[in-house]
Amino acid sequence: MLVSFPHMGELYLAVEKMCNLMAIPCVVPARPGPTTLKKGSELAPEGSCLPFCLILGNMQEALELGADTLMMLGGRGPCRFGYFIYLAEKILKEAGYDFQTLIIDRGHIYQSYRTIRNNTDASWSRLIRAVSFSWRLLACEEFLRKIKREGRAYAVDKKGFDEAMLYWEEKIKGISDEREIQRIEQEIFKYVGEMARHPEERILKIGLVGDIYTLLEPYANHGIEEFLMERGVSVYKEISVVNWLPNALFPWRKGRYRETLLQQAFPYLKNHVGGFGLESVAGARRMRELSVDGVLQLFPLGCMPEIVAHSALNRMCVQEGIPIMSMALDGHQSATGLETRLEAFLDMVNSKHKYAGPCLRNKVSSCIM
Amino acid sequence: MRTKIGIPRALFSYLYFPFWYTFFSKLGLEVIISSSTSKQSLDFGVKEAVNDACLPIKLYHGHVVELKDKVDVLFLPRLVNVKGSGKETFCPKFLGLPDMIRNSIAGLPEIIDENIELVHDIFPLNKACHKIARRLDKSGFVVWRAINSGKKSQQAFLKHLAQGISADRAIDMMIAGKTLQLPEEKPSSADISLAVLGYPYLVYDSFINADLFARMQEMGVNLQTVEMVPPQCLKKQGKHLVKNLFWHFSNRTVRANLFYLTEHKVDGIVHVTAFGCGPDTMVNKLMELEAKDYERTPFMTLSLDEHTGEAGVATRVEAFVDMLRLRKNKGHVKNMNNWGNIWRDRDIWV
Repeated sequence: MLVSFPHMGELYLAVEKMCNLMAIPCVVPARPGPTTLKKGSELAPEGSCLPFCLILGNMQEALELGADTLMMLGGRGPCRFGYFIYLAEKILKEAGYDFQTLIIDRGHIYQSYRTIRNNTDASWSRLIRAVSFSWRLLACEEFLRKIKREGRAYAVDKKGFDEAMLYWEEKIKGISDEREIQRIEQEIFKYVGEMARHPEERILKIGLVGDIYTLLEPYANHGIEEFLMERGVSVYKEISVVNWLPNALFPWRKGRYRETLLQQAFPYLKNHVGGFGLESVAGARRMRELSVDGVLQLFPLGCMPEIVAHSALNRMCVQEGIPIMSMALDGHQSATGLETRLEAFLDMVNSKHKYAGPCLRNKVSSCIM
Repeated sequence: MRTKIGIPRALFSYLYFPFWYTFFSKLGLEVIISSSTSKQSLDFGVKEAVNDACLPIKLYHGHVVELKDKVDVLFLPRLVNVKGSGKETFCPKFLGLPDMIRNSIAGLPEIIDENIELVHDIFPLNKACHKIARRLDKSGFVVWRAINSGKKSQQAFLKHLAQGISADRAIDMMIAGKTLQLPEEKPSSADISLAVLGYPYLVYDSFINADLFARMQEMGVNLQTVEMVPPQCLKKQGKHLVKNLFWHFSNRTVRANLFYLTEHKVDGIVHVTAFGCGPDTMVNKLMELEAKDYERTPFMTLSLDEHTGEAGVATRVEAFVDMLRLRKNKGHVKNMNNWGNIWRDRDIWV
């Protein structure tokens, strides 16, 4: 048995670690890129969204690397994501690949566990320990990324900041002890606390909302975070695997989570619409409390929940005076169109931030950009 | 003066309108349904809706625009679930439909947007209907009676659909108060039977599908639709799927596809889909793969978009039907029951 899985952002680090701890042989396909997209869209049905094309391409690459087992999350809709693995299995088998699946979904957990047990010697306790450790690792890693995208704009010494972040990224990759994770987190806290920083009023803040795959996978969003960070913007993004997955998996957390979101999204969206539609609307609303200057909604072309959110955000933009731009991302290779739009948006938000007075924040002063 | 309540003739109206029509009429309201889809509703829809929305959603917007100044109340229910199992819901755009309308169109009258969620409850339909009636200041026995007559006319309507009558026509006849005269069983000259599968709001909307029904009947094709499959047969097909789809209408379509492939054989299958429809990208692939598996039944996807030219649809349909005729005649000569082998032979020799 050689397990593999499609990419989503930096998730592979934790999953790979988990497999290693359980002594399950695994292979990680290359990060999504132009070849992945090409492979995926050759087999994917017409009109399917970008995440599906990339995931399908990733699976093909993994199978070509010799994997014979594909691991993926299922779901219960109404977003198409929940059916990805089932359709992908059908399509890939039709295309002549031979493999088995490990599906983490209602009604498939036990079967997946049996598959693991039959092929490796991973016990229950080992499995639980591995999952809990890699979960902790994932949380630490996402924390580091959060610090990086929000804090870089504040740092006076940008080079030093980048070096420090790179150092910790490398260190996290090699970690094998839970106590070490704690120590690293404390180190990061300490560094950020002591860092020389620009005053908050001078920093432009942009919030990102939208579909999780597009937000987490740099290839799918043309590296938008890097692009914004380079221009001295502090990037806010609340969606992460650690924040979202427990709420989606555990029924006892689902109710309250959804209730809060519905409250935040109130007059604009009154029902759960699947995927991250409700999260996008509620998130954009919450961004205002973080005194964000503008919000970007990113979604793959044809994403159903985000289209509903788009209509809600359109009205919110007018009624609440939050600058919001929605961008549908497709399989285009060139990022120029996207960058032009982003730059124009940044200019607009920046001038509003500079001259128009306190629309979203109280203090206005000159900006470093 | 009676309160005027408006129901757009789009999306789920093609299947559930008779129930609501009778229900509101019996409550003493004047029900106004928008006219059949036209160029105008399409234009309004394209203008008002979010630019990424799919064709049916745009049309829905167009119908609401047509109605909004004519009525006192708009009935735009949020369909969450109509089957008891609780596993099926509707496409995300259906779930956010009243919100999309509110967010995109200005100057709307009062909107009744109760959730229709017929699950996890005793008499869920009655509860939902009572809630709606309360919004209109009606309660008590009259509501209960209205629900019952609604159910009856809905059953009659579904029977009409099962006999192959277009929903659009059945709705018009019902509003006019006429009982529908069933076309007599004439010895049909149709030599080809074709399953036209897809969502009711595409299959029965004669403007957007360029009059597919009439066109096919003219060509001497015996049409089969999703609504013509007996419900219990539809349900039975569900077990052949690895995992049921999440969307009610999609499930119906996929199951009907399996039904026409296995139990009630047809000569070919046409999947009618709309440009930009999310679930259909998956449904279409599933149907195509199934059709290929079962004796390589001919399968065509007819994707409808904002185009109003009929020539494109006509050409494709005619070509498909011609191919089917050709194939059928050849099949007669060799082995009628084993098309798969014949086609494979051809593949080698040609």
